[in-house]
Amino acid sequence: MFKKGQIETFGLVIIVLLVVFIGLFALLFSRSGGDDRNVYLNNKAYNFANALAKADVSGTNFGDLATSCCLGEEVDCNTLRNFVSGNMNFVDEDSGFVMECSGGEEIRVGDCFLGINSESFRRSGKFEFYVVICEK
Amino acid sequence: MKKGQLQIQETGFVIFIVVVILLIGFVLFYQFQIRSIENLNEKYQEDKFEDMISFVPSMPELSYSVRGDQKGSIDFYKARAFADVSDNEYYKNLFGYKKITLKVSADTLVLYDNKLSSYTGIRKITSPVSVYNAWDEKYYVGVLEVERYV
Repeated sequence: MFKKGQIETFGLVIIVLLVVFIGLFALLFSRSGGDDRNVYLNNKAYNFANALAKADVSGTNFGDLATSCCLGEEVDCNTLRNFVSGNMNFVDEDSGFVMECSGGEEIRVGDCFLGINSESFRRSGKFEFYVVICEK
Repeated sequence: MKKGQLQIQETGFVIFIVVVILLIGFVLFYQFQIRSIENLNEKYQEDKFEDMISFVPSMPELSYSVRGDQKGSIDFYKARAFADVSDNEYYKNLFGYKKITLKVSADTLVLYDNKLSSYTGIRKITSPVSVYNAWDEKYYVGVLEVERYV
């Protein structure tokens, strides 16, 4: 019915189809859920930054404390650093805090600065800060 | 046996083998589909669970607002009231088998708790949240803990 050459060609076609299907399945399963994890960390970073921005720190609003720190009050900068690092314990992952003053000074707290950033919270003409959360 | 009989037998045997292979294929495909649907459901539940850290603080039942203007914080007194009324069917349908806890300074409020009777493990996520206390009119950094019974 079939010649030997034809049968071998069929075999080859079947093997190629199998390889293509296996490849497609492997591709389908290799997709990671990285995007969802980033959304979660981004929500967490936003919550943290929002909580810091609104917090009262020993009778002073966080924004006023940050403004005063940017104006060169070292005591306020230390209070701010201690407050931020104390609250970093509430985050399971490594986290970082970056504040840029309008004068160019930068204050960094924590040990993770390359990760998922929150949106920036700013007081115009005074400072801008954001929180970074790194995957464990 | 004659050559024709042998060929008929051979054809019958080949058809039988092909049918068996097809059946095995169908069973494997069905199992694969079931597994795939289970994985999708688990992923959906996990995504919903991780979304809780942004969903819970923004719930009108909990969020601090002034004349309808949401302030982006949890109202501590609303949270305390919510903890007393959350044990009902509406919230069980909304949250499922979870425990939601709010910790602020020395206070710990269990906002919701619905244990799965035969759970094998707990998945836990936490997030810092802003909490407003109307008593002293101050904002605090609290911790929202969400546990999922699995």
